[in-house]
Amino acid sequence: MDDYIYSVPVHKDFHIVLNDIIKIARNNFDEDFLKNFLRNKALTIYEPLVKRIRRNGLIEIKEHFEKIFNAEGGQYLIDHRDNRINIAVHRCPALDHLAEKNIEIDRDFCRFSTGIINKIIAEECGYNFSLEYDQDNKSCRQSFWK
Amino acid sequence: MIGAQEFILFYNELFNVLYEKYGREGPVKLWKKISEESDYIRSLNNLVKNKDIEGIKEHWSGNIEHEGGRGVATLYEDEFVLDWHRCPSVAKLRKTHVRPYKYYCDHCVFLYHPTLNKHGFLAKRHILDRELGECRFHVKRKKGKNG
Repeated sequence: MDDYIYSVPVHKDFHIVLNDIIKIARNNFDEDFLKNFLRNKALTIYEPLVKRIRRNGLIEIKEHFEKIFNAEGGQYLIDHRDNRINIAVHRCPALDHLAEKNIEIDRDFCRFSTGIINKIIAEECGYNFSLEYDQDNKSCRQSFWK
Repeated sequence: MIGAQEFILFYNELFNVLYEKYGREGPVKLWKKISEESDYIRSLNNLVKNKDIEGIKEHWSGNIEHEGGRGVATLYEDEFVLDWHRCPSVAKLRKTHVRPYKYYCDHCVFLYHPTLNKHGFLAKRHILDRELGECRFHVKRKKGKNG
């Protein structure tokens, strides 16, 4: 099971390491290496969540998101109705932490850590996914729908 | 967003993939690059540069506080010792469905020790149990540096 991913305490410096890895992978490995890695491994890592979504639907995405963001102090609004979830992130805790530590946010941070991951999960479960992000404002809009 | 708690799984899987593709040198190359180029290690570097051995304690006390696990940090005038009775990263991996990278514990040596060595400290890692995540991390001021 994956209860541990909702546990506290939370070491937000891991967001810095992820930001580092995105840059390092681009500079030292094949250009597409990290993108392909995320695509190939997202379903392995999120296997328990994918099973729950398939069984119970979008409510599992909503609850997963709420638990992660609440544990990390993010600010967001979720609109869940019928076969659609719209998530408005007003303050992303990952980008917030990077900014607080004066770390330059990699241009692909949101595209990789949210865009690629969530699209793979959504498609595996029979949903569409869209993402619009603004890294400077630490905000984004995400939608999952049938 | 990949949550901070989820990151360890990605980290671990990245090591597994690099190992499958390049052998043991695959993850080692990544770790060396993180040690040389990362903002995370740069902040450790600044801590040690500005606060010396107190900075070392501050960094790892932060890990105990924010990551959990079970560890005891002891600071002497010229030595810092961190006894991980249960490394939080290894503990998380053992609770999951993923296969822990068999040399996972080695990444700490490649990530942190070069920075500490650069500031006149000799860092050693005694891995006691990779399954349980038990190790002793021992940092000692090199002879000839401030006494």
